[in-house]
Amino acid sequence: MRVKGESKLFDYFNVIFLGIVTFIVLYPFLYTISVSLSSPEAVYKGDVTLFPVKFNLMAYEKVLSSNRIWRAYLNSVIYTTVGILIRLSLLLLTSYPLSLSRFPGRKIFTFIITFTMLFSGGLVPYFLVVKTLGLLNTIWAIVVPGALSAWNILVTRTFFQTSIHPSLIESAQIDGANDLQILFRIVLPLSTPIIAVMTLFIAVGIWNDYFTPLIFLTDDTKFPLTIILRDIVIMASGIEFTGTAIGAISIPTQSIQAATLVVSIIPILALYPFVQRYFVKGIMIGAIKG
Amino acid sequence: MKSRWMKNFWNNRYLFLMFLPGLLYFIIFHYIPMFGVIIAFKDYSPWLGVLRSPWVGLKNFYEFFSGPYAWRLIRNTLLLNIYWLIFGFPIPIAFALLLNEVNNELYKKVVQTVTYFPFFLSMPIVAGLVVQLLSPSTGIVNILLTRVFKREPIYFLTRPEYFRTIYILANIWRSMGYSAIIYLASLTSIDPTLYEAAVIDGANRWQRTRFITIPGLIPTITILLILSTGHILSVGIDLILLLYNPMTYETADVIGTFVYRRGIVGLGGTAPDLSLGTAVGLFQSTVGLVTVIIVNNIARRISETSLW
Repeated sequence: MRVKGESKLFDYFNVIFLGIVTFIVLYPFLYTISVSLSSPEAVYKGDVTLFPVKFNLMAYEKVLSSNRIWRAYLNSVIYTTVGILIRLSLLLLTSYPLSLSRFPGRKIFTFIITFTMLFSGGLVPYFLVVKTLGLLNTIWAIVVPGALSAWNILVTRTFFQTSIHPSLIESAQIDGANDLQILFRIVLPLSTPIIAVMTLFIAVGIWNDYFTPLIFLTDDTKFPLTIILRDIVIMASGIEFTGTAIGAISIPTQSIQAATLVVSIIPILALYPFVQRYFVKGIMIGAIKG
Repeated sequence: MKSRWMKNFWNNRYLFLMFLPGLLYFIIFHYIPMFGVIIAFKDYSPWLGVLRSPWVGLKNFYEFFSGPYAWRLIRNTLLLNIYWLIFGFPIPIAFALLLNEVNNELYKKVVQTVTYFPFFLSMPIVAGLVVQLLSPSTGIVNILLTRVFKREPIYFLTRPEYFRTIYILANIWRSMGYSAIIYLASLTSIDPTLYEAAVIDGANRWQRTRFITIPGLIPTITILLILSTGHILSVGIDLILLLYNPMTYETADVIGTFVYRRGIVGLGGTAPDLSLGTAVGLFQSTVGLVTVIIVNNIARRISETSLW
């Protein structure tokens, strides 16, 4: 809030300080981009600090000619698309009944769902269930086991409760519509904000998921981008000692690792303006109503 | 009575139909694993299955707590959480308060947009950037060390004494902008007339922050703190799995990574010890549940905000 006559000194400091913080957050990206665009000798000699030195695209030629990365990209796209369809349908179908006070057992069902936020059986029994169901090493292990989160259900339910006027549903009932018709014809068309937000939560969740494919997938051709990234940018640097070879890339240098990072950041950056707006909206819904 | 229940059920049959897949999901992927914790008290054998494996009482717990790693794992997990509460938790609050004081909307927007971005990156990307910055021969941190400070390069990721700092810094870098947005969102619910009244009463900027803005944030802070106490014995292990190695286990190995290595992967090519992994996981979840209940009860007594 701006008040006339108050000292501007704090404002100047604040603006400069936040500028520095922003630069620090940005710096790892700038540095990595510069490394990826510099000649390997310049990188090796430690000449790259902020801007590219001896501009060079060799690292990108190598990275982009690697089949392994393209296949991983494709896998990530498939997992994310299928995952959105399954998880979003489940989320909407589960949240809607919980938003209606006439739904018998609403309280106990809400408790059953909320309790999973406080207690879990742990990683091993969870793994055993997925294994027993025969899901290991299939796409279903990636999209189904984490399909619903209690938090998302509570937020979506609250959205239905506060944004859809009960009289709309009641008058549809009087006109003879059943609950499926009401959900699909009346409630969902009025719920595009929450659908957009949840779609993005789900999409980012699957796209960035590292742990699920790590424990449930063993077949190299099924790995999503996160696992391939680990192999290239972590293991090749000698930090992890186990793992698989790098495929098409023969000499992993820091330039190639940097180029791989940039190539995997670019699509997120491209979608970011769109995603960010809805995410902020989603947090607002969760923070104010949740 | 019975017929009324049946009628009620029949009238809402489509609602039950919609809810059924979600209910099955929670039963299969949450409640069956909760039931599956009984293998913590058994000597689980894949051939006999969960139900027919022999009971061994508390043997798995005894094995874990009398083993060489229990104390180290508990200490490392607690310390990462404590350091996070000390550094990772307040920094976004301070950041949000400073952002809230910026009058230029465009500048505010730019700062927010840039700092929010890292939250959308996967952990392997975050870890990859850490590796880039810390590389012993070519990373920028070691370039500064050797060129500017004339020191020997440091192999940060192989030195246990640096692991906690790296982990906390990387997480702050990733989530600061995101957390700040949560706080800024709850600031929007503060009644603006409070500020106007305060200005008329002659309150300066710091006083307005101290007596209006910060109290306005307290409910959100309380809820987030209570929730985080439920995770006192668990930390996000994705980044740890990516950045740790046997040389840094001394500070980097936590309960979650131990459960993963022993319960899912298995030691050095041997079969994983599912019963031990389950026992350690059960210990972890139980402590989490008990702490969150206790803290929530305390919060309910001393403040008006609590989870339930």
